[in-house]
Amino acid sequence: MIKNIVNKVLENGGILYPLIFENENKVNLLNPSILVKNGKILINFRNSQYTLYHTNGKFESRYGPLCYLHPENDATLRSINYLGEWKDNKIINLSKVDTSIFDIKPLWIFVGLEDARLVDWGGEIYLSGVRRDTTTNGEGRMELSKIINNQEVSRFRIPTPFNKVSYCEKNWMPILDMPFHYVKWCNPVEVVKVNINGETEQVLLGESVISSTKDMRGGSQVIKIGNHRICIIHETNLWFNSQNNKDVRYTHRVIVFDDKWNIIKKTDDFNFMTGMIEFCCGLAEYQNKILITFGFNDNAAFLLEVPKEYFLKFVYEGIE
Amino acid sequence: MKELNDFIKSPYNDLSAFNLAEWYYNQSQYAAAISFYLRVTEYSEDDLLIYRCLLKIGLSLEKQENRTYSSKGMYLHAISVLPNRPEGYFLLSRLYEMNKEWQESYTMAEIGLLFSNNEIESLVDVEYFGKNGFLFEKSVVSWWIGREDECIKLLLELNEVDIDDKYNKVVKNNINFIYGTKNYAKPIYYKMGDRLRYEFEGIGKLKTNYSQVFQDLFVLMATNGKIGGKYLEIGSNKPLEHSNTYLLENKFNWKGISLEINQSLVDIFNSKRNNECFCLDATKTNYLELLDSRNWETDWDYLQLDCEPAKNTFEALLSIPFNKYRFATITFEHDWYCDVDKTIRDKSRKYLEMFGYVLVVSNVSVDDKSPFEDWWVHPDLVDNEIIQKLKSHKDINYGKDWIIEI
Repeated sequence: MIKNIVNKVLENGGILYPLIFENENKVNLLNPSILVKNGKILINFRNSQYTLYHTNGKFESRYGPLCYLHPENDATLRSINYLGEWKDNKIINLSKVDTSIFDIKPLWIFVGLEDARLVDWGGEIYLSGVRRDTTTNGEGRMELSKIINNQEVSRFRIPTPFNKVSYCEKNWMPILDMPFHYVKWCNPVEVVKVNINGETEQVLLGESVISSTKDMRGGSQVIKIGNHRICIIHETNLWFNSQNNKDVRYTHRVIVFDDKWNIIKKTDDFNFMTGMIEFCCGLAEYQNKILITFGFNDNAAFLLEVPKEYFLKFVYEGIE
Repeated sequence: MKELNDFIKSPYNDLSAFNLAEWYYNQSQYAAAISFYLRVTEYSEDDLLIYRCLLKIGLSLEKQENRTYSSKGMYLHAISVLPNRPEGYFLLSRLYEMNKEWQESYTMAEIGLLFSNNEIESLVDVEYFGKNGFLFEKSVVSWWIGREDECIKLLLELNEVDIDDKYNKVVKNNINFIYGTKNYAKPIYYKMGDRLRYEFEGIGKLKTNYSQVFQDLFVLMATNGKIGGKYLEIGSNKPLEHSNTYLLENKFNWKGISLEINQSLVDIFNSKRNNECFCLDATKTNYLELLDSRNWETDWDYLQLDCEPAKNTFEALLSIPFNKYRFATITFEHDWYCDVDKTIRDKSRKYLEMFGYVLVVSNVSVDDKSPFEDWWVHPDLVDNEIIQKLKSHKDINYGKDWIIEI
């Protein structure tokens, strides 16, 4: 496992930017996504009104070692999104995504669109993430929201292709060069096509299964670099903490698919900055750089600028 | 960004995590700050740094608002790491106070005070500002747990020390609130500076006064801020609040005798003041004996006459041995506004004039329609120039206006 891969990137010409701005919830920015469209770099932030408190040290919170510290007069865990541009190493033209047209009274604790990936399909901008507030049991489904001038103008809750009663569908990875297609699952590879206002079709199910001890869970968008499609996935290491609650550490890999969706490369697993819970849902190529956006412990957002040459070396040859 | 790059180079180094946490904290990015402060607590072996980070996590949660229970937990953690330091107690006391948990706040402040004089360098970045922080918290919460006297005493003390503007404003507001609710005149800081009628010596060291309508300042003006003066106070009531003599004793080292008919007030007075108060009926006291008992010279500086009702005050006046003793200043409460016969005021004036006293401020009032007191001076004992400055030509004198009137 590669710990603190950001350090290696910085040693090889990369740059790490902390992403911050004043926000409505005054609390938390996490899990940003990034997209290059017509030469502009768009960037989306999840902004939550809670703070993740996660420690394996001596100082647990009053609710235990792993908990969400939300306002004591509001037990929900709310997320909203902010969309803006990244230019000259600064966030500009940023504003909250207005979802008011389609919002209804939330029925579950987690409220709002979570971990939204930025997508450009057919010249339109979409946010695609998971929403769990539409039923009283927290059922999660991927949603696809079209965004014009930071206004949500359409929202589609994506049905599952087979298991209609599946509890939580999330982290499907949008394939940026294939409109309305997602990599729903990596091992075996499962690609689905979303028909707006219709059923979701499974268009490919890989035959081979890679030997792996952990599930390969979705993360970033799937982008095309050269002839291959590339994404960043995450894997979870579960154990039980001092309060016998499930605890977790995330690691990541870059995955490379050939044009027939065979996984032809899988990097060593890595973490970004040695955090317990880091999450990547943004990947883009810009000029001669690869841009990766990720969240740290659900409480901070970063943009990692990686020289493309170094990124490809890491992916195809590996690094020490 | 240096802090971030240092952290990336040494992610398990406590100081690099701390510096990054501080950077986020200073940008008001409190969730991120919490993550990195928390990391320090996990990897550091420096108890003071851990303590500081736990306090900062608590503060971050406070700034996110509505996370009181969690903040308290963090402060308790911090105290458990270094229980001999004051900062954690202060933040906990303040949080309890803001959460209206008065008794808890008071108790934490009391414990914190035990450690506030430790000869250790205070942490300046956790909003702790020393012993006065605990006194401030006590001044706020004592009001709510039935300790009104303590509250007022603390507020008046705090009003005379240098504390952060934010707290200073609260102190002043609370003083105004307390005095205002009882129709008390506002303290001296209300409007002073070069607008004061007469700037007596020593005025610069004062930030407040205690009398209802500036009687104490009248006496100090007339005696030009005399140090070590002497007074006879008939009808002392409470020792601090509304007292005409507390400022004289406390700041100008005056000696004196006070009389009060209510034993419980006498007990309180003697527990709070250095000069003595006697439980005596003012209308039956042998003043000659009393004054003689001090063996002081026969010219005194201040005589207060304030009994209830006004006829008792007049009766006391008649018992004063003016043939032997003279007083530079006298305040006589005639309560004209509520005197049914409307006789006491005129009789007292005639009587004092007989002994050569000059009325300089008549019909002092807390508003423009409740004249209750006259202020006198003896022209042999008060400089004539000062008398002219103090003299008011108005019939009714609202104390607040008189004190700054030119």
